[in-house]
Amino acid sequence: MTAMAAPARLRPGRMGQASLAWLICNDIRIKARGREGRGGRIIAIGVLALLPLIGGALAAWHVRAAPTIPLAVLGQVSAALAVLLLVMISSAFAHVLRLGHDRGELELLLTAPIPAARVIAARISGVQAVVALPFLLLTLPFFAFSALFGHGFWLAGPFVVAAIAVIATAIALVLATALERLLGPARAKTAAQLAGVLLGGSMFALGQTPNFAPAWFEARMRALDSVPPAPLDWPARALLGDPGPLLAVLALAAAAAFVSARFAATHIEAAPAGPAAEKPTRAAYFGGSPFSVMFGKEMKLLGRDPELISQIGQQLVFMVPVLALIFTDGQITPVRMATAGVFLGGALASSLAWLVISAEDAPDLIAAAPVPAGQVLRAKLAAALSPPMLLVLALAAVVATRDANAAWLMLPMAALAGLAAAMMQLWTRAPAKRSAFRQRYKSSLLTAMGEFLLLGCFAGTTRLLLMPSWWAPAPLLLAGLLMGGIYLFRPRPEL
Amino acid sequence: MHAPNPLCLPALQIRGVTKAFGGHTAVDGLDLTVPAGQIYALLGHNGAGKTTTLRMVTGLARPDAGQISLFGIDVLAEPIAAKQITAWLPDEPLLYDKLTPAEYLAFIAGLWRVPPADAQPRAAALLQQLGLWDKRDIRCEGFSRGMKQKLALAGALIHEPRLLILDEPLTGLDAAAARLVKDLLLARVAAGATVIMTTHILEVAERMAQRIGIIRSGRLVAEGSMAELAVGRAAGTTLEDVFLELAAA
Repeated sequence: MTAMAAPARLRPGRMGQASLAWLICNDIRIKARGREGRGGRIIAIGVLALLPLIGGALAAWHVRAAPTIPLAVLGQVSAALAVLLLVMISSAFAHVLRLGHDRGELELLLTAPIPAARVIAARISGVQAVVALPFLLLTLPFFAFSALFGHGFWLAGPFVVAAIAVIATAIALVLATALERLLGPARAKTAAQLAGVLLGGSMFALGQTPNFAPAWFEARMRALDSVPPAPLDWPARALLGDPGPLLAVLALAAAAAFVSARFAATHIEAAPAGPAAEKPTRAAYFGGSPFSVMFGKEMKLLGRDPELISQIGQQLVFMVPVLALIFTDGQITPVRMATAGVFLGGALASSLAWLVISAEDAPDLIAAAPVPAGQVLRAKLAAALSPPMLLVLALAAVVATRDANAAWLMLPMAALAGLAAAMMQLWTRAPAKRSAFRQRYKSSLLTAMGEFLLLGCFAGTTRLLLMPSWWAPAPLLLAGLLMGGIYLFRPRPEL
Repeated sequence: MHAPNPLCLPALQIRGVTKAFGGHTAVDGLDLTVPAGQIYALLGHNGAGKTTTLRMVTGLARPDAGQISLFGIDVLAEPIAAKQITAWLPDEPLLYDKLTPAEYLAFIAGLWRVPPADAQPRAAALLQQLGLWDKRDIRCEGFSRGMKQKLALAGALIHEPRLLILDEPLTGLDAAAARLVKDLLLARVAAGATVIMTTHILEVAERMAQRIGIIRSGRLVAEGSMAELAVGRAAGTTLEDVFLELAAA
C-alpha cells in the first residue's frame, strides 16, 4: 500500500503581501541573515546587549535624583546630540550612496506590480532603521531604567534618537543628490568616504585635546555649562521629554521623512547602471614564481581599490579614539603606544586577511592551479601582513626615539597578533564579495568578538611585558586557548 | 611487462566514483572513459551530476569513493601533476575585475609556471585571436559578459593544457564570439588536446563532439558517437530526441 503524499505547501506569510511593512520586513530579514545559526546569534546579541544594559542601569541610577530637565547639563546634552547627528549623517551618507547602485535586487522590486513610491519608501525606512538601531540599542536601557527610577518623561529619548536618524537620513539624501549631480557617482562615493574618515579623524583629534591643548579644552567645556539659546536647546529638551520641543522635533522628523521619500525617488531614478569607466594601466609583467605572482596579484587588487582603502582607513581611524581611551588614560607613553600599535597592526592584518582569503574573487581558479595549498596560503598571508607590518614599523620608529625596548617588543608582538588574526580569518572563512567588506562582521558577531578579544590579549601581553609583570603570559595563554577553540570548532567546508 | 604508452592512455578515466552531499548522492558509482584528442560532450539535466563530476576531475571536490586519472596520473595521489596538464573553465568566468587582461594572463602563466619567454607571445596571440588585444591594458571591471568569458578562455589556454574541461563554455557569448570559441577549441583538438565540455545547447554537442555521454542521477546512461547513439532509432533521430528519451527516463 502506498501512502498518498500530501500536496506541497509553503508557510503562508502573516503580513499583507507587497505592503510597505512587508517590504521593510523583507529588507531587514535579508540584511539580518548572518552565517551563524540562531544559537550563535542569540549569544552574540546577548553579549553585545549586556554592556549597554549594565552601563545604562548604572548611569540611570547615578542620575536618579536629577531634575526632569537638568539645566546644568543641557549644553553637554546638546553637544552630544550634535555629534550624534554628525555621526548619523556620515553613516546614512554611505547607505544612501549605495541605495541607487544595488540595482539587481532593486530592479526586481521595481519591475514587480508594486507602486515604485512604496518600494523606495521601504528602502529609505531601511536606511533610517540601520542608522538608528545601534544608537537605540546603546541608549534604550538608560532611558528605560531612568523611567523605572522616576524619570518617566525621559522615555521620549528613544523617539528623539529615532527622529534624529530620520533627519540625518534626509540631510544625507539631499547632500548625496547634490554631490552626485556636481561630481558624478564615483567621485561622490569617494567624497562620502573621505568625509567619513575626516569625521573620524576630527573626533579623534577632539578626544585628544585634553592631552595637547588642555586650556582650550577646558574653555570649550566651560562653554557647555551654560544653557544654549533656543531653539538650539530644543533637541536636548525634547530628549528629556519637554512636550513643546518634543513635538517640534517629531514634526521636523516627519517633514524630513517626506523630503527623504521625494529625494530618494530622484536619487534612485538618476543612478546610472552603465559600465565602469575604462582605466588604462601599464603593461603587464610576465614572470615570477607562483608565490610572487600570487603576492603581486593580492597587492595590486588591494592597491587598486580606493573604496576599500578608505574603508580600512575609516575603521582604523574610528578605532584610534577607543584605543586611546583604553590604553592611554589621556597620556600617550611609549609603552602605551606600543600596546596600541600591536592592537592596530593586528586589526589591519585581520581586515586584509579577510580580503585576500574570504573575498578571493576566483577561489576555484586558485584551487585548480598546480600550486600546493600551503604555498598559496603563505603568499596570501604575506600580502595581508605586509602593509600592517610597515605601519607598525613606522610606529616603532617613533616609539624607539623614547623607548627602544618597547619598540623592539612591539614588532614581534604585532606580527604575532596579525598572524593570529589572519589564521582566525582563515579558519572561519566564508566566501564573500570584496564589496561586502564593511558588512563582514555583521555576518558573524561571534567572530568579531573573538577577534577583538584575541587582539586585546596580544596587546595586554605587550603591556604587561613592558611593565614588567609576571602576569604577562596570562593573556597570551588566553589567546592560545581562544585560537585552539576556534580551530577545533571551525566550520569544515565539504569538498 | 611494459609500462603503458602515455600517448595511448585515455585523457580521462573515472572508475566507480561516488560523491554525496549531505544525504543526496550527486554522483553514483560513475564509470567514464574519454579518449585523448577528442571533444567529449557530457550532457544531462540540471542536477544530473555533470558539474560535480568535472569538479572532482579538476581536484576542486574530493570523491567519496572511486578513482580518477588523467593521462594515467592519479588525480587524488598526484594532484599537482594532474592540475599541471589541465584547464578548468566554469560557467561563471573566474576573473579579477581590477586586473587587466594582460595582467590576468601573466598571473595564470605564473601559477602554471609557464616560462615568461613562452607566456608573453602566447598571451599576445590569444588576446589577438579572441579580439581582446585593444583592451589588453584596460581593467576588466567594465567588460561585458562575453568579453569576460573570452578572457577566461584565454586564461585556460595560456599554459597549453592537454585536457580542457569546460562547463557551459558558450554561455553569454554572442553568435560571433561563440563561433570564435568553437573554432579555437577545434584548433586545439587538432593540435592534440582533449576537450571535455558540458552544454545545454545540444546542436553544439552534436556538431562538435566526437563522443557524447549522457548522465542521469549521477550515472552514465548512454555513451558513444552520435551515430552510435542513434542506432535502433528512427531515421533522422537527433541528439535532442535521444537526450530527452534517456536523460528524463
